Amino acid sequence: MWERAARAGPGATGSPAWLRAAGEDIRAAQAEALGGTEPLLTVQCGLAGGTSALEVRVTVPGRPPVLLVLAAADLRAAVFRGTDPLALVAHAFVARDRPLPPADQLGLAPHAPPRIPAAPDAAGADLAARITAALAAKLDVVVVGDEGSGKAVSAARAARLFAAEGGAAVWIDLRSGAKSPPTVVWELLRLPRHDRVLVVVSRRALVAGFQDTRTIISRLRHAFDLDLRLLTTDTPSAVAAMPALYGFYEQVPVRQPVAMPGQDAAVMYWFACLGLFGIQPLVAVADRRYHPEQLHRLQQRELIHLTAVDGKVYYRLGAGVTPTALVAGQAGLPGRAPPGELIWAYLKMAGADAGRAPLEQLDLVGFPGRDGHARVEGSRNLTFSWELLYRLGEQLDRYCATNPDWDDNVGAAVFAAEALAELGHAEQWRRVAEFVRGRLSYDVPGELPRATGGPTLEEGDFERIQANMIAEDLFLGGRWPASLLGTGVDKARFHSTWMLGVLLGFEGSALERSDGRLDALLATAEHHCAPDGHFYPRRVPWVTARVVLGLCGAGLTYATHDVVRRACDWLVRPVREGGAYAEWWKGGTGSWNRDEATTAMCVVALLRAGAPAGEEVGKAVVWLRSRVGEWTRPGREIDLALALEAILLGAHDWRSSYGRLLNLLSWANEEFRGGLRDLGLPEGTLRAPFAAAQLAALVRVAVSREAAALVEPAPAAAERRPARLEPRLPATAGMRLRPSVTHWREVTRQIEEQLEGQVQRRRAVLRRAAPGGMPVVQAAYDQYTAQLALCRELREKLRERTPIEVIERLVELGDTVCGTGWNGGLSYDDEAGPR
Amino acid sequence: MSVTADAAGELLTAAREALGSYYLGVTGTDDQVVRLPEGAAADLARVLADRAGTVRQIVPCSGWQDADLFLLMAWRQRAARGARVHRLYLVPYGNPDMTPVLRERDLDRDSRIDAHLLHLEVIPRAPVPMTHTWLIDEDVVVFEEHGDTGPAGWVVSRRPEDVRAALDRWQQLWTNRHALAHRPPHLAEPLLESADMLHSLARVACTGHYVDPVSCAWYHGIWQYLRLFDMVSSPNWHIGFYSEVLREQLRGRAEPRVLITGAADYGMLACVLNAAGPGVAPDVHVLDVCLTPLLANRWYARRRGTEITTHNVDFVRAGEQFVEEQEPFDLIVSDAFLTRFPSDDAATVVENWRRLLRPGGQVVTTVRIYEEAGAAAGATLVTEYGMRLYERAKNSFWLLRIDFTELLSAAHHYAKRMRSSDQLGGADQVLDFLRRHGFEVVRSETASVAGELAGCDYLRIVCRVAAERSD
Repeated sequence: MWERAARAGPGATGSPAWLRAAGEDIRAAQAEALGGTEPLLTVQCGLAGGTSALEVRVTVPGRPPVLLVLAAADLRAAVFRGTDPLALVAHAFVARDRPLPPADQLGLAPHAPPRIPAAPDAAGADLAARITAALAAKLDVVVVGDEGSGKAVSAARAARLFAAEGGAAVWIDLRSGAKSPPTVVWELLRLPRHDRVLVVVSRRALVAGFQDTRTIISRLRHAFDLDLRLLTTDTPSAVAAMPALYGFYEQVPVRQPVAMPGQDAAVMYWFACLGLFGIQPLVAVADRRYHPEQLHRLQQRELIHLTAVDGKVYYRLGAGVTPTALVAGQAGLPGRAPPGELIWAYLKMAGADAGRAPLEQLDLVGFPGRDGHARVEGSRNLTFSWELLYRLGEQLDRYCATNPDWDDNVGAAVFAAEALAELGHAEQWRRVAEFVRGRLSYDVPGELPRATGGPTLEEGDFERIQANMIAEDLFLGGRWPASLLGTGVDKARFHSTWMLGVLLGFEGSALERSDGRLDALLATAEHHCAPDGHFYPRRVPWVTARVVLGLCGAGLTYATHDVVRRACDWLVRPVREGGAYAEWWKGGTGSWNRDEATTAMCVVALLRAGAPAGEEVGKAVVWLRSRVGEWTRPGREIDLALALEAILLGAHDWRSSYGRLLNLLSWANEEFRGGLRDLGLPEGTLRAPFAAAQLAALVRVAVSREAAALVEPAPAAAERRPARLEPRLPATAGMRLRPSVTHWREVTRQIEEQLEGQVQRRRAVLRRAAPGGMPVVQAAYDQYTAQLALCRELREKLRERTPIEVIERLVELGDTVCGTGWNGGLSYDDEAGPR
Repeated sequence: MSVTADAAGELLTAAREALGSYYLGVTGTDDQVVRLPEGAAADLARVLADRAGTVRQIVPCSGWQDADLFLLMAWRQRAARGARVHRLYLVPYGNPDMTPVLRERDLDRDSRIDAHLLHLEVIPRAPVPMTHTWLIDEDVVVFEEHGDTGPAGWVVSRRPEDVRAALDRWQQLWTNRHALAHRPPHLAEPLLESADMLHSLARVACTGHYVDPVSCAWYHGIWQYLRLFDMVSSPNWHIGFYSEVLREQLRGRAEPRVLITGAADYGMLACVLNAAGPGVAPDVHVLDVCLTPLLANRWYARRRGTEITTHNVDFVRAGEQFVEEQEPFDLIVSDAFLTRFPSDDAATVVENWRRLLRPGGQVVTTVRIYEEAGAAAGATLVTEYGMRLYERAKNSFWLLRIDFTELLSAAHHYAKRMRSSDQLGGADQVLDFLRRHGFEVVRSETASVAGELAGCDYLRIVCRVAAERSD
């Protein structure tokens, strides 16, 4: 092993000749390991200038060498102990400044892939294929599965596939105190040249050791521009507990075949959807929803368990059930409602108090997403909205108890009924419904609703709407055929068509269905939908939007109903082609439903209907946001409520709108305090019931979007990389230069600050909870605590010349915690160049 | 050429169509309301002035531009020609520069306008939008209308609801005009001017602070805006106590040495300078770990025609060295400073105070007290804080340079992040703590205040170095 150095004799130890001999031994060891093939990493040795040390240059073609200095003392120890010469080099690469430990403490693990069964089953083959695909897309991959789920075998199978396609696979087993980092380098020094190398680390035994593996691999990638991939395996709980580590990995779950009947799968989907928000459903609610036998069966299979907190009994998910994975696996299947809808339905069934807790958690701390990226902190003002909604509901109750006909205003009554239906106030809803169903006749298919016993109060609004249309015509000139001018509009038909949409929504969400009426309304909608898709009057798109919303309320969508499809197509057809779309939607009724309110209604209608995503909605939402100075003016609160719903539902960055809920809450609170009044504003008499219905809509939309975000896949890695700017100063090998270390510390403080807040808020929540009562919060607390520790550790390592690994881990941590661009584009020199 | 000319003509026609559409959006189609864009105010005044018999005007006094002066002048000329014009100048909380206001009022009186200045309280009993409002013959009301962002518009409304609301507001203000004419705020703190200044300054000057070791820009930048709407703890919550005690401490001394430890802005300095009164020239030192409040104090002192000494020092970490470098002080004042620290650091602060005082020197301070452990702010409290600010600021946010959305968002951040230490405990524990650290309590009283997120109690304390420690 050290023949040449040993031959030089003990007296020559440390001399130039001895050092040269030792160097030759190192090169010989590499040649022997490679059997004459070209190495992946070439080791060259020479005397370090002016020192009694050996200089080792590790090189690959086209890259600057990495210089290592082996002190004579270490060489002497290695020769004396018979340490593998390449292990000495590996040790020097990994731990430059640390003395050489005894050979048995070097912790090198032999290359030892597990035995692979000859023929995989379908699930095993599928898993291996998914691992291979993940390795093609990402540098670091973790296979997530329970003990004994076959993940190690599948990883080995994927490694074999990797090798079969021309790559090299190195298998590192961390049993018996093996240390991964020196083993990785040691194995690479003994590896023939390959274009791609896969390092498989099985049996993650020590977190710290494993983190170091990734660090050393990252160094190797950058130093030698190697296509070096890392594959490991771990359990779901470990992955969930270490987001700071696993947040950077592509996670490939082992799909546990859920052998359960279709109905059980649907029940588990419901439990998992609630689990996204950390909700442990009340047994009372679950029992109302599902047959006891089904629930019992799931308990027997340990998929759910009973748990009691403060005298109330809940179901909690079994230890092996991961809500995000379960929801992601079933979402979109027939019969599976979107998670947000199920959560919203549960909150309503659970009632004001039980529903409050998850919303408060959402407000204060958020929930962890599929891979941790979906979490965005910050109050969404939803708890207060929820409480106010219930207070408004009580006010509506009181009002409806004495005035269920809403002074003969059917529009107001219907909005009140929708709010009451949302809140499950059956008794008052029944009183209002009795009035609506009696006051209007709409049970004849094909016939628009008509009032029985003279015109209703809100019909008077259409006089005012007509006046606004006439004023608009005077202002803009006659842009419409005579029948659509303000003077020519058929007010009764206009009102009845609008009422058709309103009633569709009412009957669609009715607590007590009247199938005959609903069927009649649907037939009427079909009958009165113009061939091009609009509803009368064509000039006023908000009527068509109202009908679409009503149809959606009845459970119909663009995909399932021809009228919805035609109406949506008309809404997005440009005006010049006979449609309604003019970059946004113009109301056609002057100040009564301005363009902002009309656009909001059309956006919501299209999104609720599930109309194909075109640029129209996106552009209209941007326009709507640009008009914030208009829809936040005093007296335009209905516009405000509609605009908020549209933005929450349609904007890419919907969370930025949560702050504006304050405007709406302030208004709704005032309505609550001030009672009901008509200020002579559009829909003035509808304001209080509308406020309640709209608050419910906004909380529902927010819950839906947040739930959807939790199961969204992470953004592509490329999008999360920081911009790499030109360095200000030249770099030296292995170091990243600061644009300013102070700035890096400041932006690192951002991460720390956010994490501190998250930890503290969770601690506060946990302090108030029963022990074990909030497992999701506890898990998140643990995650954030680990991330905080990592963040502080990295911050301590920031120097004017900081090892690149530190910066890279920091950037990745920042991306995870604060989102892309958290560091404001601070640069560091990427000496590896573009990859 | 003709084709090009036609094409150009079509483009101009299209542009006119866009203009028509835009104006329809601005003015609307309500037959009882006409809306005009911001720039139309001069035309509006020109045509309405000739038709008005009696005009009641509410004029907000802050940040006047030439356009505002033109409006005042237009109606003044109408008054000179015989119209009856009554004018109320609303002076918002925060001490705007009164020089131009007083000049305009004098000109009004020369033109037979019945003009009065009204100083609004920090939270007016009834909301008063800080907008120009003209009630013309009780038939029509003209007012400015603001959304959360963007330019204001003008509304001319004959809607009975609008006219009635304006008339009610007018009558309420007019009835109270004499009371409000002489009720400037307790301290002459030019918050309206300096809040914008500190907001800008904090971005460059803030470094680290007790509330945030890296950068406290989020705290100092928003602080005075929140003070303008009484959303944060400040010496004004204890103004009677400070005025009385400081007057006692300072009067009769020619040049007392005063140290202010910890300052979110110049609020405490304003208290000291007000209490000093004529004939007393206190040698005031202000200490803080962040540069922003120190610069604010220096700015304010110069504005008051005096100089102060500032010390950019971390009183906990480097207080001991500071003590060694200083001559003894006669008085240390510090508003809610101890509340910022855990008990260990608070002990260091108090020890430093003790060593900085001359024999017989006193500390005047307030401490938030916790009879029970402090709880983290719940979601509802945070939202309610935001709503409170929204409701207080929605009538005047346009007087500030900060965008309303940014103001609300920063306040939200503040509500979530800011927390006081509860480690000193309740009133008895605080007093015991001071005694243990060598102070003799001269005076103490508890007071309930509105609080930030929720109502809370403070202990107002005067103490002096004890001859012997109680421990």
